Amino acid sequence: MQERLSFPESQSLALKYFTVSVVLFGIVVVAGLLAAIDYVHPQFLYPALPFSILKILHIDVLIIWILMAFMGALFWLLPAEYGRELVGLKLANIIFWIFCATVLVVAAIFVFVQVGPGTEKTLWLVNQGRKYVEEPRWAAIIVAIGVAVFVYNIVGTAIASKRVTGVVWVVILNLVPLFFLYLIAFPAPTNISVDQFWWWWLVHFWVEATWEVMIGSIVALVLMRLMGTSRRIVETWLYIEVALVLATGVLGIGHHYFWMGAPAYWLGIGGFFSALEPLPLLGMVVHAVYDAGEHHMKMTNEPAFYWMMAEAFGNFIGAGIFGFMITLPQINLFAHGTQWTASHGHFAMWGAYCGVISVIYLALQDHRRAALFAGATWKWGFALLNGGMIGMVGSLMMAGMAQAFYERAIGGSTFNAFVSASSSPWFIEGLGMRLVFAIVFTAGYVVLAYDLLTIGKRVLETSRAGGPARAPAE
Amino acid sequence: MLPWQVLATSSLLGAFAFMGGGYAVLFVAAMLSERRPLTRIAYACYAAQCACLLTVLWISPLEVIWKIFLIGSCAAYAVIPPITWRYLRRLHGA
Repeated sequence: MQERLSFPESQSLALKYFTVSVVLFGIVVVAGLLAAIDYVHPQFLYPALPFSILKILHIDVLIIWILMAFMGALFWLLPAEYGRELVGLKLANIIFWIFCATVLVVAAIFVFVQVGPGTEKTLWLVNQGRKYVEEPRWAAIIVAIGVAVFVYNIVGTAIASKRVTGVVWVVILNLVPLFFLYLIAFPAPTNISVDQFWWWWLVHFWVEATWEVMIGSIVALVLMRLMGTSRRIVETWLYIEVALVLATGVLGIGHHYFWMGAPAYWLGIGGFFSALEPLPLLGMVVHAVYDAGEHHMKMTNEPAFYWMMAEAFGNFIGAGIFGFMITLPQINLFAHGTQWTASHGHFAMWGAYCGVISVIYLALQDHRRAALFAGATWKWGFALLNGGMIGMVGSLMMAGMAQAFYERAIGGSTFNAFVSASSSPWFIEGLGMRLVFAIVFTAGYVVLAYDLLTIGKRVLETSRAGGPARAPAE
Repeated sequence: MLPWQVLATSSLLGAFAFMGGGYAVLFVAAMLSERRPLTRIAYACYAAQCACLLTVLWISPLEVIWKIFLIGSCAAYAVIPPITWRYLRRLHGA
C-alpha cells in the first residue's frame, strides 16, 4: 500500500481514519435503528439497552464519526496542497489509536453504567450529562488533546512548507474556533440557563459554523481533484460561501436562545438570521447544478460526484427548507422540541455532511489506482441511504406536526395534551413509517460499506495485469 | 395563531422555499441546456413561490415584520439565480 500513495504516511493515516469513520457511521445507524424500534415498541431491549443509552450512542458517535471523517479527509487532501507529508505523523498515529480506544471505552461505560448519582466523580469518570458531549471529562480531555495534535499537524506543516494556499488559510483559521469551542465542554455551571447557553455555542457553532466551513474547504479541495476546477474559481467561491454561511449561521443560532432562558429579543434575531440561511445554500445549489451541467454528469468517479451533489441539495432541503418551515418565532413556539425538529435535525445533518462519503470514494480511487469508479452497487447504496433519509424525515415531520397541532396548538402543552398527542394516529403511524425507512437506510449503509470495501478492486486487478482500466462488471 | 394556521403557515413557508429552490435549479439547467421550455417551468416555479407568499400574507397571522421579511426574501429569491449564473459564467471565463 505504501508505495502506491503519493504521500504514503499521511494518506495511510487518512485511510485508517476513513475506516474507523465508516465503522462509527455503522454504530450511529444501528443505534438509531434500535431507538426507532423503541419508539414503536417501548419495551424493546429494556432494561438492557434503554432508549436513553441508544440515543446517547446515536448522537455522540455521530459527532465522532464526522470529526474522524474530516480528519481523514484533510490528512488525505492537504499533503498535495503543501507538496509534502504532514508533520507530526508519529504523534498523529498514536493519537489515532488512543482516540479509538477512548471511543470504545466510553461506549462501554455508557452501555454498562446506565444510571447512578450525578457527582463530581461521575462527571469525571462516567457521564457529563450534556447532550452530544456526554463523554466523561477524562475522555473530553483526550478529544481536546487529539484536536490539538491535529491542529499541530495542519499548522506545523504550513509553517514547515512555507506554502499556504487560500483553502489552507480557511482550514487553519477555522481550526481556532474548532479547538476553542470544544473547551466549553469542560465547565459545569450550576445555573441551567447558563449551562445551556454555552452548550448551544459548543454544539451549534461546531455544526452550523466551524463544521460548515470545514466541509466547505474539503468540498473545495475535492472539486479541484474531481472536476479539475481551477483554484481561482474554487477559492473565490469558498470565500463567498464561508462569508455567507457565517453571516447567517452565527446569529441564526439565536433561534435556540429564548428557549433556554435568554432574553426574548433573540426570538427575532435568531428567527431573522436563520430564515436567511437558505439564501447562501441556494447559491450553492446553483453552483452544483452549474458544475454538473459543465461536466454533463460524467465523471471518472461517479459516486464521489453524486455524493457531492447530494450534499448541495441535501443541505438546501434539510437545513434550508425544513429549517425555514419552523424557524419563524410564531411557528417555532409550537414546533420546538417536537419530532418536527428531529426531522429538520436529521435532514440538515445528513445534507450538510454526507459529502464526507464523497471524499472517501475519492481517496479509494487513488488508493486502488482505478481509472473509473462506476457500477451499480454504489447507486443502490446512494438510493437506499438518501431514499431512507427522505422517508424518515417525512415520517418524523408527520409525527411532529401531529404533536404541534394536538399537543401544543390545541392542548396548550399540558401533560394530558402530550399523552393525547402521543396516541394520535398521525403520531403513531409517523413513527411506524420512520421505522420502515430506518430499515431502508440501514440497508443502504450495508450496501455502502460493501461497495467501499470492493469498488475498484477488479479494476486494480485488470490494470495490474496490464489490461485497460475499466469499470468493474457488476 | 389558530391550530390550523400553524400547520398551514409552516407548510406554505416550506413550499415557498422549495419553489425558490426549484426555480434556481431549473433556471440554471435551462441556461446550461438553452431550452426555452425549462426556462418557462423555472419562472412557473417562481410564480408558485409568489403564490405561496401571497397566501401566507393573506391567511397567516404572522407579525407584520415577518411578512415584510418574506416579501424581501421573495425578491432575493428572484435575483439570486440570475446573479449567481452571471457570476459563475464570468468566473469560469465563459
